[in-house]
Amino acid sequence: MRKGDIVRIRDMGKPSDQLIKLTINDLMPLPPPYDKPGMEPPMTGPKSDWVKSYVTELDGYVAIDVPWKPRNRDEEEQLVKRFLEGLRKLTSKEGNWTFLQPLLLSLDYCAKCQNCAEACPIYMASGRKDIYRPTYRAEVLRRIYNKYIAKKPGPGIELNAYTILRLGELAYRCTLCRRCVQVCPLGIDNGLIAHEIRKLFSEELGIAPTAIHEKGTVLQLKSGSSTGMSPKAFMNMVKFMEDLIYEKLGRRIKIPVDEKGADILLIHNAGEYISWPENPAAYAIIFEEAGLSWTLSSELLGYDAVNYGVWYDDVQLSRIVMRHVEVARKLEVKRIVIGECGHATKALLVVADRLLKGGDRVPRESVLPILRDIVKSGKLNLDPSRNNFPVTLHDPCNIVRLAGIVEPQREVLRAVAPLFREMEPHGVYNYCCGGGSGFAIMTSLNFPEWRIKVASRMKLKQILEAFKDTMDPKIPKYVCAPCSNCKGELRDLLTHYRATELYNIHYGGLAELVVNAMVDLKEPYIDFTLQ
Amino acid sequence: MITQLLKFSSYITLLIFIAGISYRWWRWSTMPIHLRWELYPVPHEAGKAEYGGGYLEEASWWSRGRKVSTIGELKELLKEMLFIKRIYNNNRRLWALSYSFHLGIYLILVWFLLILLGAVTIAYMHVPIPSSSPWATFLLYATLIIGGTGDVLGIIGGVGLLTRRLINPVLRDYTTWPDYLNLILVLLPLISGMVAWTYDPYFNLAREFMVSLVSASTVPYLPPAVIVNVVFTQVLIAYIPFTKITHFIGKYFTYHKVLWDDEPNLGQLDDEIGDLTALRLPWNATHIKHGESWEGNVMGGS
Repeated sequence: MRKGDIVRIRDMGKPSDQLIKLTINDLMPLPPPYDKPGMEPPMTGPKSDWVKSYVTELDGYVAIDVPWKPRNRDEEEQLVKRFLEGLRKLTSKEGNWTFLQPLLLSLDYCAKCQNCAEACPIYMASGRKDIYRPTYRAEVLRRIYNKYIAKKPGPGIELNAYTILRLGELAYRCTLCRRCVQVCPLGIDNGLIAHEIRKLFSEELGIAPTAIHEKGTVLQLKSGSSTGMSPKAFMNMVKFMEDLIYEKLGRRIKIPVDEKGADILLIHNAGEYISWPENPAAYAIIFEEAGLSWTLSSELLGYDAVNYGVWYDDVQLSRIVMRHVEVARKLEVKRIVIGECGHATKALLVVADRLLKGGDRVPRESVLPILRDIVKSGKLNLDPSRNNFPVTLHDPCNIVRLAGIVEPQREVLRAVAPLFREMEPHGVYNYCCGGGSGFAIMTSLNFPEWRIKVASRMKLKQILEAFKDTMDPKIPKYVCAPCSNCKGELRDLLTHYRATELYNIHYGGLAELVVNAMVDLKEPYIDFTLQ
Repeated sequence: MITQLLKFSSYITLLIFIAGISYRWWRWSTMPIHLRWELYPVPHEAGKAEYGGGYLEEASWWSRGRKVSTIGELKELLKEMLFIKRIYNNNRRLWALSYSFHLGIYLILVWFLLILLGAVTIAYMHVPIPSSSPWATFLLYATLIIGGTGDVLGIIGGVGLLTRRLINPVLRDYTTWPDYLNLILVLLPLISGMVAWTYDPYFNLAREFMVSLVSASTVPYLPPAVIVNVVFTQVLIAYIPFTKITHFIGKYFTYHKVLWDDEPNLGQLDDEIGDLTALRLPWNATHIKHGESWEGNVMGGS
C-alpha cells in the first residue's frame, strides 16, 4: 500500500468540497486497443450550481438525484437526528428482522484487514481510491453505530450533515455484487452494509435515486411496470413480437397471454419488450417449438418481473413480490418462471423465499435451466455453425454468484456457439457489469459517466481480453449477457467506447443465440449491423 | 496467599468465559430468521459446489429433492479454520502473519489440554511427570514441543500483525484502540509466557498449578514471572467474551447461517414468517404506513 496521503475515515465529516477528484490518469489502464491516449473521453466535474441541491462533496458525481441537502443549521440538525433514529430502527427486530442478523454480524466482527479491497472492481478500476474500499463506508457506519446506538468504547466519529450526505452518496458507489464477501475470512458482508445504508435512507428519510424509487418501484406498483408500460401497450408489444417472429421464422406463432391454468407463467423484465424484444420473442419461439404449456400475463405487474426493491427497500421489495405472486395465483399457473433478468431472479427466487407463506409459496424458478433442458432434449433442430462468431459469457451477479445458477447457460452455449470462450475470471468469481444494484437505469446528472468509466471498467477489460485474438473489426463478436440490466449497462459501455463501431463487439441475450442456430429459420435471428 | 488467590480467580475466570461465550452464542442463535442472502459457492451443494452451482440449476428444483453434502461443508470449514484459505489465496504476506498467529494460538490451546492431561495423570493416575512411564514421557515432551512452538509462532505473528497495523497508514486509520487492546491482551500472556518458561523449563510448575485446580491439593510456590503470566492469561480469558476475539463464534454464523444458508422454505418456516410479518413497522418515510404491520403494509401497496 501507499505511504502517501489517504482519505481517512474521519474525513467523511470534513466540511469541505469533494473528498476526491477523479481523472482518467488515475483509473486502471485498459488493455489494447484502448491503451493509447485519447481512446476515451475525459472525466468531467459537476456543474457549479449542483452543489446547492445535490451532494457533490464525495467524488463530484451524483447518484441521488433528488434535492435533499439541508438549507440551514436547523435542517442539518434534523437530518442528523432522523438519521440516528433510522439507524436505531435498522438495528432493531421490528424495523429490520429481514437482515438484522447478517447486518449485526458484519458490524461486530470485521477485522479491517483490507483483504477484500482487491476483490472489488470499483476500488481497483478507480486506481485504488480509498473511499471506494468495501470497508470504507462500512467503517463509517460501524463507528456511528458503536458510538450512538451500541454505546461501545472506541474512537467514534464526528456525525454531522456532511457525514450523512456523503454516506448516502457512497451507498451508491457499490453495485452489491458481493465479490468482496467471497474473499473475507470472517464472512463480513460489506455489500450488505451498502444495501442497509440505502434502506435506512429510503425507509426512514424517504431518500433514494428517482430511477429506482419514484420512477421505479412506485411507478411499477401504480402503473404495472417501471417502464410505465400499460397493459394495452404490452398487448401491442405482443402483437409486434408475433410480427417479428413471422418475419424471421416465416410462420406465425400465437403468443399465449393470460391463459388460465397454464403450467408456466413466464415473466420478463419489461425493459426487454422495449429495448430487446428479440429476447422475449426468442423464448416464445423456443417454448412453442418445445410444446410447453405457458403464458404471459397482461395484469398489472404480471408483465414486468423487475423488483428494484431488492436494491434499497425491503417494504417495496415485499410489495412487488406479493403482487407477482397474486398474478400467478389468479392465473392458477403451476409455477412462475423468470426470464433473463438477474435481479428479478434473485428477488423472487432467493430473497423473497422467506417472505412467502402458505398458498403464496408458488414455485418459482429461472428460465435458464428450462432452456438448457430444451436444448439438450433435441426438440429444436439446431445447427451450431450458424453461430460461427466468437462468443463470450458475462455472469450476472444475481443469477450466478448470488443464486448459484452457473452451468445451465454454459451448457447451452457449448451446444449452440462453437466459438464460445470464457472471460477471466468467470463463473461465481466473475466481475459485475458495473450496472448492478440499479446503476444501469440511473441516468441522471453525471452518474452515467462514473458508472461507465469506473464501475464498468473491469468488465470492459475482461471483454477486450476475451476477444484479444479476434479484435479485427471484420469479425463480429458477441458478449452474451442473460440479464436485462447487464445488457443495459453493456449497451452504454460499448457505446461510450465506440466498441461496436470500431471493433464489431456486440451484446445480447442467450435465447437469441439458440434461435439463431435453428435450422428452419428464414433469416439470421441476430443482426450484426449497427443500430 | 497470592497463589491461593490465583486458584480462586482461575475458577472465576473460567466461569466468566463460559457465561460470556454462552451469552454470545445464545444472542446470535436466537435472532429472527432473515431473508435469504446466500453467496456461492455454497460448499454443501452436492456435486455442484466445485464450480459454485446450487439446486436452482435444476428445472422444477422443488420436485427433485435436495442433495446436501455435510462432508463438503465440513471440508470447507476445516480448510478455512486450519489454513485460513481465503487469506492464503488473496494476500500471502498477511497470511504468513495471520497464520503464524492463529496456529500459535491453536498450539497453545493444545498445550493447555496437554497440561490438563498431565495434571489428571499426576492427581488421579498417580503417575509423576517426568517419570519412566511412556505416557508421562510423551506428555512431558509433547507439552514442551507444542507449547514452545505455539508461543514462538503466536508472538511472531502477533507482533507482526501489530506492527503491520502501526506502520501502514490505511490500517492505522481503520484500527481503533479496542483493536489494539485485543492484540496486546493476546500478546501479553504469550510474551510473559516466554519469560515464565525460563523459570519453568519443563512446565512442571504449570502442571502442578493445574493439579491444584483439578484436585484439592495446595497451590505450589510460583515465581513472580509465572504469577504474572497466569494473571495475564486470566485477564485475557475473562476479556475474550466481550470482544470480537469471539469471531470464532461470529464466523460460524456468518457462514452457516447467512452465506451458506440456502435452505428453501417448503412450509417449515411459515409460522415464523407469520410472526415476523405481524410486527409493526416503525419506519417514517411517506411511502410506508408507520405503525402498520409488515403484512398490512405489503398487502395494502404504497
